[in-house]
Amino acid sequence: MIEGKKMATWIGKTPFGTAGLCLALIALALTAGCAGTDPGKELATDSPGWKNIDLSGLFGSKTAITDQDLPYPWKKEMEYITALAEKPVASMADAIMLLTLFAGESPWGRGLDELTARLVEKEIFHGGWRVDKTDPLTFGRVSYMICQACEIRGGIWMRLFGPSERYCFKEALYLEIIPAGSTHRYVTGEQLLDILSAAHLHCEEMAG
Amino acid sequence: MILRSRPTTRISLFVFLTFGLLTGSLLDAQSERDRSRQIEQSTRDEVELRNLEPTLGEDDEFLQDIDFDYGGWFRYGFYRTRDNLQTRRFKMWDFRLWSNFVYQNTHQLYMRVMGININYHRRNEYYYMENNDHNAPRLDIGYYYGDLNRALGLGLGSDTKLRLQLGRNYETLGEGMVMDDRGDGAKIELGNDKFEFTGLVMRSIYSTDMYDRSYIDFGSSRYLSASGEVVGKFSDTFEVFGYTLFRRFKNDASPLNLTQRFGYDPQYHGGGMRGQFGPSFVYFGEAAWQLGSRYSDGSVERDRIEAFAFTLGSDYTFVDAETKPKISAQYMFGSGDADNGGTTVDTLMGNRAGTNDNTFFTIGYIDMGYCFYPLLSNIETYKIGFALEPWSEDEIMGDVEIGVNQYFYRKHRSRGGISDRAILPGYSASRLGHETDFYCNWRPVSDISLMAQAGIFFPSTHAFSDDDHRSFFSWSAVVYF
Repeated sequence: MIEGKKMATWIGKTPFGTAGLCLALIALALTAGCAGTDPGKELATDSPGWKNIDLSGLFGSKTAITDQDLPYPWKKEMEYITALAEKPVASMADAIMLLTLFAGESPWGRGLDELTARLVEKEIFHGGWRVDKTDPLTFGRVSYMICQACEIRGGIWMRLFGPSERYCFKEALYLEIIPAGSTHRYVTGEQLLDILSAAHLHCEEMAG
Repeated sequence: MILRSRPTTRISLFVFLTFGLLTGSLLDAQSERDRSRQIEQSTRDEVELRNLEPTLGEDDEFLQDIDFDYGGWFRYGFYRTRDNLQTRRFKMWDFRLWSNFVYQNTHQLYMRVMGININYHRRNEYYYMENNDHNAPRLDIGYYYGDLNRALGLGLGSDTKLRLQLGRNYETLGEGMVMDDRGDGAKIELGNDKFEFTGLVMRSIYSTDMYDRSYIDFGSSRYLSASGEVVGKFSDTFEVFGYTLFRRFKNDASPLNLTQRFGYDPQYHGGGMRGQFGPSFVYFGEAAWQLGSRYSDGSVERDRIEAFAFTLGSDYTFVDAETKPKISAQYMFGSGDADNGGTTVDTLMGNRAGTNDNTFFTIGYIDMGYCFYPLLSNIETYKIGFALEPWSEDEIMGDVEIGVNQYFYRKHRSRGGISDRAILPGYSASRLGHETDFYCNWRPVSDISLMAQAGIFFPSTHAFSDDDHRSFFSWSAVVYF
């Protein structure tokens, strides 16, 4: 049996030891990631009244929206935003709703499937994603949708291999649209609003 | 060359020359470690700029049970240096691969492996290449980081942070003047939005080359350190810090020498501030007193260390201008000792036995130029700089930044030595020379960085063993993935 000190030396000083430990970590993460139920799914419940509200004012201003900025008919939207901001995990439905608005379309009276199909058609939503509207939103997915909506071309890897959640997240991180984290990390409701506001500013700057 | 006539100095000089010449280290103006440290710092700056170091989420974030990410970068660089001895050229391939594993937003395991290969041009090698990280994949960083508040259910509230780090990481005190190094150890962080305390016990990595090369086997030196730092955050744009650091250098070789012992056990007590006025004006300052004890040249008795160092600096950016011009100024001071005739970092030919050592010396990092880059030891340095982004509105060239820095170097004690090994012991004037550095950074796309650096140092007449100028040139490319 290898003693603890020798083992530590072996791990730290040999390429095989270090590589082996990295591989073990990767295997552990993949195994653990596939097991058990996802508590985030329970938290990423559907937002109240998401089909019947108007957020068209959300992306029209460079500054943060406050109650005073909104005329009376927009109070419902403010309620939605407030509810979203308090959600511990934003859902895919939230992202579909807001990205529809982000893309300049109205989501009124349209179901989630129709909105999703429209976003797929516009190549904002990945056609291969099979999601439920209560699925939790991740940094990788929101980054992908933003990069597609803003037509961000990305770095060398993204140009070579096409957009992916991973490279879109790295690109959004570089452009300071998204906070530090990881591709698989869940997005809170407040973060989603901040991310979309930053993305909107970036798109405006790119458009000149 | 003026030598002191004490008998112990002659014995020490013999030992120094014998072993110093055997290793070749005596001849180098700066150590290969210094150059590596400088290159590593530029890599760290790049990584921090890209926010690549993941960590635990904020307290109000909900994370899935398992959060995993990975990445890395590849860097190719070409370097050409000309110092008092010769021109050296080398190419460097630097490959890093990291993985980050977070469990329940409470436990984090981060590992980074590095593989660096340095290929010197023929006959340009340094003489001492053992005991370093340059030719094999090694563990660069690897640590566990845990939120004790959440893990142990201490109920301190989400505003209070209590975190523990175990393993190998880069550690910095204050602005990095006194401590900025990689090591193995344990760190505890306690704080909230008003103050933060950090306690650290750390051991240097075995492959780290210590500066005192008058040991018989200087390559086997290492140090232990214990430190505490308190940061007070008065606002989002102003904070002050204070720290204390105890460090003990250790050499495993323990040479049998009845007339000379080696040991350097300094303490540092310091503080400083950093802040910002508006979006344009950034300022910082740090001061440190160095106490402790050490063995001097030709002595088996310890002498006291009493030294001082400080730095003050500021940047001003014209944020409204299209090209974002930035001017910067910094003053750096490290005290010296008039009776230290050789290099300030070695025991032999170093501090005179029976006297206090007033030479400041530490293992930190502070920008002192590309060519000369002395340690902050018996030196005053004035730095002024100018930088701009000439094509900030251009889609492709928008990230190009070009700049120039000018340095002026003076000794604090004109009769004392400095860290540079090419200084002539008989040189008793203050002026050391001046240096001009140029740099250009460009990120054409998000995952590629290109950098070019060039500098030229003009030494004062008769200050060094060679009056010729020194120069430095490098270019490098980094690809992140």
